Amino acid sequence: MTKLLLAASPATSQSAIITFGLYTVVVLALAWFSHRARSGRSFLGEYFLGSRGLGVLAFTMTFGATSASAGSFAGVPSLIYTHGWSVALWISSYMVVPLCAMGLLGKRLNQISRKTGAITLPDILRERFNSPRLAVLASLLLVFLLSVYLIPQFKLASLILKQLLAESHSLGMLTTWLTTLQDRTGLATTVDAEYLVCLVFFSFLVVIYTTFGGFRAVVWTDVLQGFIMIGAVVVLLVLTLHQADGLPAATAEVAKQVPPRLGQVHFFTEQPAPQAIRIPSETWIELKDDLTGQRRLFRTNEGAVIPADATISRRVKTVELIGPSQHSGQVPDRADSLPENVRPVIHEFEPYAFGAEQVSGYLRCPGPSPTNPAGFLSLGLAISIFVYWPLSGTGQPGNMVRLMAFRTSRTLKRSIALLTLYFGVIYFSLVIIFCSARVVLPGLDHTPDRIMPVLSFQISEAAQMPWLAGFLVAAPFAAAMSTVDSFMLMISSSMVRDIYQRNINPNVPEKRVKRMSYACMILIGLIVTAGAVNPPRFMQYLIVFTGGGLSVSFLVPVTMALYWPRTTGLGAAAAMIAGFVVYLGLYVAGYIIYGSARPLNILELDPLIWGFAVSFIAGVLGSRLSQPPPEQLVTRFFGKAS
Amino acid sequence: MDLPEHQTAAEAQADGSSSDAVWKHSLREAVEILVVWAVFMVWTVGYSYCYGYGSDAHIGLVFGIPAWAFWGIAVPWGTATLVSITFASWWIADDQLVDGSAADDQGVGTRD
Repeated sequence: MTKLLLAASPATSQSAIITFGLYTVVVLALAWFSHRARSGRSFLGEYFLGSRGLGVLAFTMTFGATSASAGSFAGVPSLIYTHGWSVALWISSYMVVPLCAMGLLGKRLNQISRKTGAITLPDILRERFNSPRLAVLASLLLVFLLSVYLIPQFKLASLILKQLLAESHSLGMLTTWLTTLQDRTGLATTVDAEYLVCLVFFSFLVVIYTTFGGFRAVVWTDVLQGFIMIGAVVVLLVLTLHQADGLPAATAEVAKQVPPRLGQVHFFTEQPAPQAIRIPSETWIELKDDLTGQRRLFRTNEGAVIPADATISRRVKTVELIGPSQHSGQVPDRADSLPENVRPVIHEFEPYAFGAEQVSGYLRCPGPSPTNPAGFLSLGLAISIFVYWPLSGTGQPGNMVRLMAFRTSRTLKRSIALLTLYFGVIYFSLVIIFCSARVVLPGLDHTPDRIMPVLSFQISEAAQMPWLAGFLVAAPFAAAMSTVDSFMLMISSSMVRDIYQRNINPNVPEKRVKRMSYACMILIGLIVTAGAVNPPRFMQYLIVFTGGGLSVSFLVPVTMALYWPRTTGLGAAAAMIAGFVVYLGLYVAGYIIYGSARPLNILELDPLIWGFAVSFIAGVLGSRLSQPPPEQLVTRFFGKAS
Repeated sequence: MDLPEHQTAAEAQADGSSSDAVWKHSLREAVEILVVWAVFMVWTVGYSYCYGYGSDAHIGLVFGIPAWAFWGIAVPWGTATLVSITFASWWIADDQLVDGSAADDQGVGTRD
């Protein structure tokens, strides 16, 4: 994960912190109200499913906010900034995601969950196939994949918080205290103390409101977070286009740009300085080429420090703008803002693997790519991704649980319409914003993960509304939070309801269920926090892998269970296991073949597509090769054949 | 407003057919949704492949959007939005999701 650095003045940062603090207070208040609203209702159904009473707004927003994880506000903007308009095609299947993710299973899943009294996905499978073993298999897969998925979400949210609180006095004090503690005890000395403080704060906040408020609190905060997300996107769109002189002007400027070269520089002084010299991130450097005499223009993407009594800094990631890009957008005419006596040393700079020197590359497919010689979006990938988003959205257990919680079929119908509009505004706007950001904020190509927060701070300052930055940065934080809380609730429900109550102690009193649910939630919070202190490498890879793994494990078995009377427990188990094994196998094969975190895409198709195909075949074969389900069971779920 | 051929669970019971109406409606709607999805995939990916790929330095703009993205993504996106709203509002059957045979909710509240 790229190290995040602030690009804001202290005044902006302080105002942003106050805005963000208000947001935190509102989230906690919602948890408290939710806790009060729960009194007098049956614990399990209310705590894990909100008594199936979600109306249009709550259902739409909780579905949308849970679907949009932190990746939507960190990963997607980064992709758009790096690859340009080709990402519009990459993300275009969101035009049908609400219809597919809600419409394909919604009504039937809701009906079956009511008919059986199921409050979790494994509950549904247990009742439908009368198979406790299948339910336990589903629970274990859910608990494993969701727990792994939570670790990168915790990390990303903590990094966002760290960026926001960088100028905070309280954070500074806590960090100093923690660093001292780390030095004295020798514990976690390699972990950044600032990050650790933010991680603990985030974990505390999310565990408290999820544990205390349950499903209803999660839904209410999702509604708040959903409004924050769309509000932030609309504000960013308006202000970015204003700064870029409108979309036609911005696109015309982007057309002139060619992909930059990426490399590193370090800085030195002739004499050691008594105090450390700081060279901020986003510093412009202008040099003349010794051989040709031509202008060379660089922009640092990380901050550098020449320590006191030293003469040299470490190397920092830097971008070299070349050709017409040097005169595009808001690139300064004279661009040397280095401190006096500080000189740069330029190391080797590499051109893009695809699209280098090509004008207009950012406006067309396959889009420039720093690493892939075939460009960003091949035709195979474009087809694959158009299949990926709708199926992946439909197969997410987090979404399926929400489909069990809406009030009536009319609620579902209205929510499909509303979510289609919501996603349309958010995702198409993101493409416009971050393509235009190439004009407003050029030269951030080496650390594009930072584009959302850096742009937020820049346009808030330009608009002279420093508080706005807190609101804008709250969007990715809210996205992470709304995903994390839902998943924590699902893990807890799987452990308490599906494993303990249904298999170990069916007569457990409600009071103990309550205590166990609370304890489980706190335990999950502690374990995931511990995992995020020193998370494994390849975070984005983990997010993609576990997100896809959840869909590929559950979409086919659940769909078959709902629609095909001949499906058997064996067929559903075969679909679940085969889909996941093929999916996992293609990731492992990719790692072995390429030696890096990259899946094997046979025929350029994502492993998810292969996983779905094999899962479907295994489900059909498994059902056909096993005894037909008892007539009584079929009649219960499908009625008598007329 | 539902189309006449849509039959609610109660109506199904009344006319003597005993297979689950929600199941039948949902299955038919799921197939129709897959057709909608396929149509928009062909339009979006097909148009974008024909006009969005290549190495031509000149790219036409429509309202500041590259022409291929306007006709291949923005227009289908708008159309898909209208189709989704129409489909959801007037085509998906308004079924009763709770019936008399509902099992004990095992702790689920009684709001419905």
